[in-house]
Amino acid sequence: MPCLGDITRRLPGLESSSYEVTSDATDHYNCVAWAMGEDDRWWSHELDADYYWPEQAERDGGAPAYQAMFRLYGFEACADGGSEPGFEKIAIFADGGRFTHVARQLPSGRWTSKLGENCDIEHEIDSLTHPTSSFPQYRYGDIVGFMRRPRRADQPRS
Amino acid sequence: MAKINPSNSDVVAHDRGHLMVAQSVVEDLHREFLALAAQWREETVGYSVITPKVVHPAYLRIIGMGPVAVPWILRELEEHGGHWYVALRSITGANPVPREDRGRIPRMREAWLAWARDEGWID
Repeated sequence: MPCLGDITRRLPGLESSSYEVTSDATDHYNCVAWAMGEDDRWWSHELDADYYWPEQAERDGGAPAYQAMFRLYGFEACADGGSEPGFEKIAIFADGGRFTHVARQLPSGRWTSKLGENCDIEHEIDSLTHPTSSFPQYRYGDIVGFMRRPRRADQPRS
Repeated sequence: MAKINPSNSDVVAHDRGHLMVAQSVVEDLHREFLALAAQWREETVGYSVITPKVVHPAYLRIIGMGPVAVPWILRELEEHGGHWYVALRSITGANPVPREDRGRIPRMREAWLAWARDEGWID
């Protein structure tokens, strides 16, 4: 399935790890939607006139505000990204304190990410941060927190 | 960058305050638009947050082109998708997307294209 551009050039950490492209590129949803199990809506704290954001959530681009937003959906902070049976985890990425990306853990323990308007990939958790991308749009910074919630039977498997 | 000089032959007429410019100037602007749109897509497709997409210099330059760029933006939207909604709102002052469809990209695109047909921006 095609990504836009050579994805290993844009995310050099993928080159030395195992990853798989799992969707075509699309602008129909972003990483926040994908973390919430959706593939038909673009979530954004930024522009009320255009995009979706939960009404109860703060419109702030900082990582803490995003973590607070995820708490509205049952997530709580947890120590690490290790696989825990019965729990679904997400990893929050930030650069200079600003939210940049969120990845979701799969039942297998691996992670899935929607790369902006680009494709979805299945990947190892540290492959998006190390080494740092020289492409600003793929510079996700560091993982600033992991969160978890009980996995429901109807939650997405992919 | 295409420049319009009101004191020379680029301007072929004035019509109720609107400058009527030579076709060659519009063609230059269109070429510039296509290059900017391609650059913008290439350099922002990976962002998950909207702000860096819509403050990208190429995007701002396209907004700065004003109403002449609206049919070109709509064609891009129709053929390639992309987050053109801020530019369209900024230039036209309209927002035809119902609240319940915000973030639903195919519906947003359809709402804008239907509005543009109704308003005569595109056929």
